[in-house]
Amino acid sequence: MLLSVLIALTVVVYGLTQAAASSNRDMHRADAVVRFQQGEEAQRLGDLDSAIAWFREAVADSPDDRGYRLTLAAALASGQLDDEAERVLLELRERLPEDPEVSLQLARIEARRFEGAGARRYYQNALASLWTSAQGDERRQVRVELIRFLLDQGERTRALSELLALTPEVAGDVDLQVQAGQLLLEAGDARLALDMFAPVVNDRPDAQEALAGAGEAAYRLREYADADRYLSGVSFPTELIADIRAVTDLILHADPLAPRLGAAERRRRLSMIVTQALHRSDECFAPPEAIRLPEVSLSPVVNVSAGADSEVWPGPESELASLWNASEQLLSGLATRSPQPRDGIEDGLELARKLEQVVTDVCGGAGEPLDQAIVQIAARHGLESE
Amino acid sequence: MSAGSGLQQFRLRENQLFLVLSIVIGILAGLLAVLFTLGIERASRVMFGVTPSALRLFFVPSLVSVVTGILLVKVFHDARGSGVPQTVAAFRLNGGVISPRVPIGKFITGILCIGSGHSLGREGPSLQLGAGLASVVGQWLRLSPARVKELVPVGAAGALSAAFNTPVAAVIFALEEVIGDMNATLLGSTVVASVAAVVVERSILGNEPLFRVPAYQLVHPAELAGYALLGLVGGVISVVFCRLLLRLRTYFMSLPPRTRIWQPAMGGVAIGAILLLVPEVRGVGYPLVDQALNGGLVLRTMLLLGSVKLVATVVSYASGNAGGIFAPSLFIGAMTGGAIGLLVQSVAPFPTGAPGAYALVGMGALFAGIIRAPMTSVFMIFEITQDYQILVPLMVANLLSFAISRHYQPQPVYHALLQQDGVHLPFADPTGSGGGWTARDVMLAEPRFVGPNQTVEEAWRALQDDAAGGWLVGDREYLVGVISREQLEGAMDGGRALEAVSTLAVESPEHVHSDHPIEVVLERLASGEGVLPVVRRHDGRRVEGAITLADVTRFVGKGRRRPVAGD
Repeated sequence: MLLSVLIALTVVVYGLTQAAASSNRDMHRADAVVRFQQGEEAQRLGDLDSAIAWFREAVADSPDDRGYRLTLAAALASGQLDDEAERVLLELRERLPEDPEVSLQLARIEARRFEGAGARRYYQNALASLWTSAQGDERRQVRVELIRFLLDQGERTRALSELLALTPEVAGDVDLQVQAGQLLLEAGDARLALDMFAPVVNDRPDAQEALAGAGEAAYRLREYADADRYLSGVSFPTELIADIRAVTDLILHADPLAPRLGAAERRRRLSMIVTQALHRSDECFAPPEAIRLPEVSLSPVVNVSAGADSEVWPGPESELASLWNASEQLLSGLATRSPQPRDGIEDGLELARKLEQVVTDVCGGAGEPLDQAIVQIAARHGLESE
Repeated sequence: MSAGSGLQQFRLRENQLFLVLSIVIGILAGLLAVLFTLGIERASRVMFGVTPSALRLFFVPSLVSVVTGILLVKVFHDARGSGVPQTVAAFRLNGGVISPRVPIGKFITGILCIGSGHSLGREGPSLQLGAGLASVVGQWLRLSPARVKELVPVGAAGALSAAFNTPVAAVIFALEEVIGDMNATLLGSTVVASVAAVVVERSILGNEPLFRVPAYQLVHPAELAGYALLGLVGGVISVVFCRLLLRLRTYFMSLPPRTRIWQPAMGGVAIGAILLLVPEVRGVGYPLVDQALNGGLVLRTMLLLGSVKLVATVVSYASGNAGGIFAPSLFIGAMTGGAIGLLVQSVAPFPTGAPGAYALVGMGALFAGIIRAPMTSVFMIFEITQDYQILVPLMVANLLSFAISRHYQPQPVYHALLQQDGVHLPFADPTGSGGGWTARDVMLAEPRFVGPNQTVEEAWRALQDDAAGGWLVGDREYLVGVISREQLEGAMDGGRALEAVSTLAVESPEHVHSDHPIEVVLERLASGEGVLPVVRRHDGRRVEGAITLADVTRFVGKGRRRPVAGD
């Protein structure tokens, strides 16, 4: 009998304790709101330590609140407290395994630690998590972030496969199309990039980023006329785009094998190309204090090679000497002889390309726009580098 | 049905009922511990608000301690301090009988003291609440005295399990500290109660762990040296803590009795002043432990918090407030461990683990050093981490801390606190042999007393016919001290014949308890005043008898047969 009374009493006390716990939880939730606001205020004022302290208290007061934990984790990560941030997130992940924001923050922590595999896993988890239909943009941005991470890690193949997954989702979103196109360019798929930029340019012919992207993609695809068309619309080009535009212009206007040219024009273009190649080679091989013009430097090749500083003469001497001699002969021939047969023009172009090749091998760099154009023109006509 | 089988069935039924009762007690103790925790949170929130102002930080502990001082001195005498030593004493000396006033008083004063910012823990009081509840229920159900006694550790384990969310450690603590016997037959009941309590606690408060612990990893074998250093430092800090606590408590106890009511308030003022400077040491302090475990504190902060917490806890406890030292020892341990972890990390020529791992081991080391419950410490940290890898460093640090603490502070702090209150726990008998002669066999049950107000001359005349080497001063209810024959003779020769005997009496004489073995009696008799008072364990001034050398000689001369088991 007494035991029954005791059991009944236990049930009553259980109910009372539940009520008290519920009341305390409400109190803590209310406190958490205040503390979270204090934390936000501190964060706004740039006091990260205080903000973290307030957020910690808010989380302690309301441990089930997803938003408080995410904010705390973000603040901790900002304060370089990645380990604690990770623990906060992992606890949240145990409760909300399908929460994409949790996985995303974990991915960012892993990315900061250069833990490629871990970061990839969390990014993929984030992408595979439950997103509401209203969160489509956010999900796409997560994929973009993953692609950027993969590109930074030098994982182009993985980045491309993610880009292919992104491609169907970008239709109708101009900014995302441009972004995807730029990423495709970075990943090395110029064709897909151009396919991404072209519709944007068609719809909005003044879209600067799209024009620049399309121009660069067309340039990489050696579709120079299209590249020129796109790039000419770019009002404020970046340094890269300006270079590409200059090279493209030269390819189109310095090609001695271009159709419908007169013989004199072909000779003029060839002469300009060979002179440029000789000029670059002279800058590369001459001692810094005595940079000479090609016509002066052609004959004294041997003098240079026998000069005091033999270290500036590292290349295949005989090949370069023969190239210089051939170039000299070509230039003097171009100055005196009338129209060259097509084969002669091709040989001259090949000579200039080889000179550029030797200089690039020895001194590095891409040279001036015309030097880059020479290589591209040669490639355009099937004279690929070895 | 034979009488034998009937008795067997009765015992079986009684055991089953006891098991059911253990579950109910476990649930009730768990609920009480949860209510206690909730009460502290609510009181703290009400008294300090969300962001406490400087005024509140100073005045809340000061003023609330005035109230608790009155309650603790006038109404709830046994509710001061932790509650663990009182529970141990009730179990070992008082047959497990605890007055209903004790849990009620502990509940109220504990909430007020800890909620008002005193640097004390809730685990010890929870344990006393559970033990008290179990005892009261046992008495209410009119169980046999043996059963009432058995319920005390059951309730203690249940409450501790719910208070700290570590059911296994709670059982070990009940066995190690309350019962004092790891082979106790009560293991089953305590386990059942502990599990029931923690299930109830989690059903109400949820599964949120007390601490977010870092993943532990022994990065390099040489790191064990770092943990050994932590054990050494932890041991030294444990000794410092215990000695400071006992000395300051001795000081407070030496103050005039009329000040006792104000002593908690004196502690409250001191705590208020400390909180003005370092508000982080307010109350239990687990959020900061959590930060230390997660590498969220810098070296300077950990050193500051650890030192201030130590001082604040000593002040709060010694001044007679209600609250435990369980949580503060974990707090100080976490700060010590975290600080050493950072130091090791910065100077070690080998890779090391995170400072949080050291903080975790530091908690165990300080617990082993201060509370002197090394097995509980190991299981507690293991339950918190659920990681086997931490066991080796934890045991290294615990062992060293425990050894240093035991060497420099031989008496465990709970026992020393009881002794300050005049309660003497019986010796543990690890061999279980026992059975020899004890002081009870030898003592003179009706000893001769000298009145404390008698003059030396009166006493000298009265004792002319007595050949004893010394006498007790006072009466059976209150022992003032003892006086030796040499002292009386010296006083007569020195012209002090008219002085009161009490002025000459040795006030804290060597004494024994009735269960002390004869070897201890002889040892103390040799260093005593010619007479050895036999006093009660839970009241060192109540006389049960006296022993002189003549009594021992007479006893042996009678050729008593040494008692054997079964006698």
